[in-house]
Amino acid sequence: MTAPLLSVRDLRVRFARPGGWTYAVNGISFDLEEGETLGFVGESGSGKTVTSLAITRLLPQRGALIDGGPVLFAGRDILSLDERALRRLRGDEISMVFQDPLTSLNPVLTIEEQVVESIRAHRRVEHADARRRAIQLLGMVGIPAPASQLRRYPHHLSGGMRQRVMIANALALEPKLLIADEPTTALDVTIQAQVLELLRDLTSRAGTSVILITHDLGVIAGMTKRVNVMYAGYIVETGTTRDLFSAAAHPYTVGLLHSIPRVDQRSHERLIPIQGVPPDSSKPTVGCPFAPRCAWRLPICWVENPPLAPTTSEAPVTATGPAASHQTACHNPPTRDEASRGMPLRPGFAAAPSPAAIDVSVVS
Amino acid sequence: MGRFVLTRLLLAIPSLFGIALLTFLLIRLIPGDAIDFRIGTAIGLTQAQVATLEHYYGLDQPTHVQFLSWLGSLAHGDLGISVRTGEPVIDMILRAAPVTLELAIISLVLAIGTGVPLGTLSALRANSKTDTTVRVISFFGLAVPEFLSATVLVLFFSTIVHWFPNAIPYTPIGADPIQNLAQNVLPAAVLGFAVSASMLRVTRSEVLQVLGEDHVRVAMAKGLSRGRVIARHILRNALVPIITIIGIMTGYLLTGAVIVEQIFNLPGVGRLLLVSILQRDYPVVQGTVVFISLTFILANLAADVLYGSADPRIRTA
Amino acid sequence: MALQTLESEQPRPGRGQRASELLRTVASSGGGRLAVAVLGLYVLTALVALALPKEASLGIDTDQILQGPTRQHLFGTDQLGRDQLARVVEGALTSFTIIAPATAGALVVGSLLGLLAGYLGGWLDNLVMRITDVFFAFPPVLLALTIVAGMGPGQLQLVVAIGIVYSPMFVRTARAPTLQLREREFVSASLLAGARPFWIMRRHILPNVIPILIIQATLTLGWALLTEASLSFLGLGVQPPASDWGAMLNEGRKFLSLNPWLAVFPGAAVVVVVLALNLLGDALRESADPRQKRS
Repeated sequence: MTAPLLSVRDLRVRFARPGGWTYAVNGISFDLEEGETLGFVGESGSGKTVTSLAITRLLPQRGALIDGGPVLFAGRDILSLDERALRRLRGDEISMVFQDPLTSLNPVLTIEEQVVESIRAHRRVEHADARRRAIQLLGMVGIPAPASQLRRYPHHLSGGMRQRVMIANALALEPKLLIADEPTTALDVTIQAQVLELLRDLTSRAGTSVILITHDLGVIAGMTKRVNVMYAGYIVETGTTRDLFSAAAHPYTVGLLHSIPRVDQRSHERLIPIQGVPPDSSKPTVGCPFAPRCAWRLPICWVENPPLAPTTSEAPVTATGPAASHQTACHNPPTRDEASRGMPLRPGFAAAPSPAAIDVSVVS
Repeated sequence: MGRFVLTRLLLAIPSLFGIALLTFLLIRLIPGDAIDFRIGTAIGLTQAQVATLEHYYGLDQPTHVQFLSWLGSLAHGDLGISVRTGEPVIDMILRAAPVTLELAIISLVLAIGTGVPLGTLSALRANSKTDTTVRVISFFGLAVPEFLSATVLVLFFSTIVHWFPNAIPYTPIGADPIQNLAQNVLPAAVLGFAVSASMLRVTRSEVLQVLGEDHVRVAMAKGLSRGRVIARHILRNALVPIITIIGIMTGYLLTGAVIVEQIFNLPGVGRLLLVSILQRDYPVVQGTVVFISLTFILANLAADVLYGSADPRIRTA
Repeated sequence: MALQTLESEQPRPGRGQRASELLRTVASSGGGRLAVAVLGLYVLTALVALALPKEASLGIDTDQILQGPTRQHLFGTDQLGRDQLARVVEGALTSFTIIAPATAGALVVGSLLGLLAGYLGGWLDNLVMRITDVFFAFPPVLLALTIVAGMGPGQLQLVVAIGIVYSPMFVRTARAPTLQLREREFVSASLLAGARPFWIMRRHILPNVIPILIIQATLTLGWALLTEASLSFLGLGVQPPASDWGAMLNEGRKFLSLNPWLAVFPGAAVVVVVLALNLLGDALRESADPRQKRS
């Protein structure tokens, strides 16, 4: 078994705020194999974007504090690299594609200038050679008449085209890892599918590992083999995509799956929105972060934050690959039936009331 | 691009026309006799003499005809004759223009050379001590009027350093470059300080805005060096709006020049204007105002064109 | 009846609410408080000047010419022995009586034109825009110079000149938001209910434009003071023996080597008031649009 390409341990990120901190990522750990596509799903504020920016150290220098780690990429700890080594890594071995293609491209530079820049930042080539490669890349991402597009400016291109340019930029030097943060959210629905397919096609052919960040479960289903579900800066569930969809083991994931309409739903089934709001990130969490909104909660959930643990007691735990273990951070995981119904099914079960009503000293 | 320039040129024409009209009308506001205006005095003239003069100067024509004939002379570069010296106004202006031009260029270079780098530094280190210090200084720059800073400088240099650049008559750059620059240093510093404060503020806010934009983060994600990111992705974008400011700053410089030329005794266009106002030499006043406004419009036009060449999004508009 | 219903659907906040919001934010910022304090002092000084007897500033005392600050004359004396403190105090009144009416006039005329042009559009809008464009083609001090050149020097002429010079700014400041607001739903709703244009302008658009106008007025006061002082300095504004900070600096220039204090006090006065006005304008601007932290 080869070592994973990326290995993150206990990553914690907080931002300085007048009067305190905002806790964005609270100790997450995960691995990524070569050639794997790993999805990160969660609502806004769950910490998925911050995680990706922390891995590449693109967070603002002032105001963002990264603790924990290490973040091992091909054996080196990214968090302890110096500026120059970091720059060599970025764009060459780790690339990113961001959400909004319009603002991601510099409006006053031509497409040519920006793609060539990506190439020449890391390879000693002549401009003419870089230009030829740029044309090749643009063709690879499906842009028609690439040579003439080079001369144009970003505002001349459509949203879908721009995102293709971004992908060309990102894959120009055949990186080992591509991080795509909501790559299609800003695009028209019809274009989304095309761009996603392009992404999947190119990365699987080149064997690129992908971290795909999205809030859209449909994208997860179509693009990833493995998923991390994030909530309030924690990974609350992880496993293969198949496991997640067929037997979600965390109340939050169950809630997510049931709050979107599905084609295979029976017509009388209601959508069940998740009650409540995400927790206040300006305070460290006490107990499970999802407790206030959870229909499965037990008294212990208010007091102790459950760690990730496998859903079945099989050992050893596999972190990556098609046989990755299904793990959840829950004291009272939903059963398979409960997951497909979207609510607890045990007779007489009611979610534990809030701690104000409990004598906490009783819970040992 | 060519079409862009042409459009801008065409749009400038109504402004030019408007300025000519405005100047013409303003001078007509003068209480007192029109002959007084032309020859400096109307005392002691008989009615017949007045009538002859009026006819000679075309003053018996209706106003709009006068305006049109004035426009006609303007187009020929004929700005009239000074009441005081009898010299053609255009000659006086052309003699004074190089002085002001040199002053303006040096001031602009000083202003951009200090304002833009400091503004950029300020933005890159936003909210640090450096930033706060720089901003406080620039705040003063905006509030201190040129006549005050000029006076203080003169005071300082004459009493403490015992240097009197004003005492010597003005030396053109051809005759003695060192002397000439010495005479320009203080006035340029005064003008430059005021303009530099504006440039600093604008640069700072533009750079701050660009810093927050996604493409800067993308540039960093590509692994570009810090210097390259600053030059190619931050400054390149922030400087575009700054160029338009330069056009407006020229106006600032031209009017500030009036005061500064007065205090430092430089025989430029500003001084010419002031002296002619005080001496009631109205043809000179008129001609100078038109000249200065023309320069201002041309400067703005140039800035517009530069802006168009720098920001491709404008060109298609 | 229909109009009565509209009353209850007023766009919030109303005029009074917005202004007090501004005040509250200014009061909470340190810079804003300082600025208001300084400006209060300025206005107070101007009022004090009203009560001063004429001799205080005009009293010639040939025994004590060109003195620096002494116990008898806190700001010193000039070449005629006149007490500088009294003259600076009077200068506050002179400047205030010029910049306040000038700015007020520019505000009223400019914003009225801007509002009308923005709301009614069409040929009126085009005409107003062309005219203001021409005015913007002149650097302001130059324009003021030209007007004063035409009208002759003097306080009233300064007021008119400054008022004319800074009106175009108000036209633009009022027109821009009017153009935007005109398209908003509450305006269409009013129109559907049969409200007349002037009513809409007064009730719906004006309250939203007023905060921006206040900010612009604060900044314009500063520019007006600088223009007024500059023109008086050049001899084209307030004429001696009247006390004016700019004119005082000009007079004092000749005697700088003998008594530099002649330049210090009037100069400092101008700087302090302009700084305060700029500070206040910035504080107001921040409260109106917190995203734009400019200074």
